[in-house]
Amino acid sequence: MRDILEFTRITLKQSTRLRAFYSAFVITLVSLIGLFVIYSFSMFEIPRILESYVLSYTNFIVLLMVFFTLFSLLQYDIDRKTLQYVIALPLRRRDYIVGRYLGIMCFSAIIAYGIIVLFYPFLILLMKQRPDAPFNVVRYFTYPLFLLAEVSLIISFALLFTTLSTKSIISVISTVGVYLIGHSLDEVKEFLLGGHAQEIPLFSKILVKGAWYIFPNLSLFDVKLRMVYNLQFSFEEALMIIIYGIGYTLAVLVITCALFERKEIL
Amino acid sequence: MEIVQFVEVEKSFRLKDIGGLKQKVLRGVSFSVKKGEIFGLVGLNGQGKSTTIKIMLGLLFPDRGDVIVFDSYPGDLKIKKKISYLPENPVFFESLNAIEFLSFVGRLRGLDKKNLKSSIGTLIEKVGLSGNEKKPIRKYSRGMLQRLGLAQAFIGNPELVILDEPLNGLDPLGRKMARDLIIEANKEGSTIFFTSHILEDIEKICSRVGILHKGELLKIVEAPELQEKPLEDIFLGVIEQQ
Repeated sequence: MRDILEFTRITLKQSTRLRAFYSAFVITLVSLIGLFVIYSFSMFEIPRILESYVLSYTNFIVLLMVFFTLFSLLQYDIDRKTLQYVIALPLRRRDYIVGRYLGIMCFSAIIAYGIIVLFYPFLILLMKQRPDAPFNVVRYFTYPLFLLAEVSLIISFALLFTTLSTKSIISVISTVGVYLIGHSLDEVKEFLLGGHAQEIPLFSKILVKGAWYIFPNLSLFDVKLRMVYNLQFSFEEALMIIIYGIGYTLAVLVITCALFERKEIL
Repeated sequence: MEIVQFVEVEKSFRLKDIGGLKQKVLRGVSFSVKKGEIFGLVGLNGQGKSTTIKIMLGLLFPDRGDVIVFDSYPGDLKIKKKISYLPENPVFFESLNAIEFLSFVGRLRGLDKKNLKSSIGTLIEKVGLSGNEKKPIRKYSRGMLQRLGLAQAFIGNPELVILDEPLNGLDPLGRKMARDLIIEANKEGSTIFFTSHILEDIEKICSRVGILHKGELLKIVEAPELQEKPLEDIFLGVIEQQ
């Protein structure tokens, strides 16, 4: 466990020293000004618009940073062969996978909660002047958990593709692919297997159904609108989404570790 | 006592550019490294030296034959704690500085806080990185990277030090420093296994030398023979016989 934590710490240090991290910080400060601009231009539903703006911004920047960090770290590990050196260190092969996973997760959590906390006093300040919609603090601070559950899946898939490919670009493109499929799968399935089912060839139906079982359903984690508009969202449902994210991540990580044990590091 | 044993090891790689044909890189390589010695593996470029090291470290798996390191299999965590490795073209975590990087490696090798600090200070001075230890590694020159690589290889006094072309990229002073460091570590009890294609370096510090050519270990030159004849003559003689 100590070795995993050491590698987690190194991954976190590497991530926070990427130039993109500082750029994200500057962009966040600019976006803070954007909050006031939106406030001054909006006439109705201001609290909801402001909350939606903060949650969407958090979502965008966390995902952007995760993909950027994955690309940077994996580029070193695979293309520049740092992996060779790391695996020769007194670490188990699985420690590399788990350490990288935990490090990038910690990094994502820092960014997500950093933005949420930074925006909070300004949101409260602006909302106090327009108390025309209820603002649920608990929901606001719970939102990053769903985002992190999605990020957790993305990182685990990126690590899985790292063990399968010999070029970092392939693993990053594959991960982006999983992200896009994961977000569109629900709608595609509904379209193909719903009202138009009879017009669709059997092969396409089997293909979509197969993909639906294999790929993670990432649209489940997109709960922004339900949070902002206080739509019905039970505790049990929220818990199930988080458990789905954790369970799927664990399964992918177990497969990744098993494959990585047998991988030849060229 | 033998620390490393290679018995009839064979390894092939699939060549992507010629229709997936397999090329044999190691052909029945057998040798052993004894505790406390400096064993050199020489050969021209692309003859299988780095592959031998990667198999020893558990990065690659042999197709045939047995590899035993410290009475266990390569890649076992227990034995990895006793081994250090310097890759041929070292690329370390570039956003860290030398102190952070050496602390990470030292902690993995089980050094406590107090020993870690003193070891890092001593090694940084020995490899000539004083004054640059707080600079990010990405700003290091090739020679400085090699010096850092040597420092990490010797931190925590590992029992077996595996060095792949350790003198690459070093200036004459750097080469002398590296040789002295290797000899000193050996005197303190570390067994050294290192590869090079520069015979002069091997000749100066090794107690035994293996000659690898086209994946075959053609000869192991013992210490008395090394003292009698220049290694270059022995090497060329063996290669020409092939």
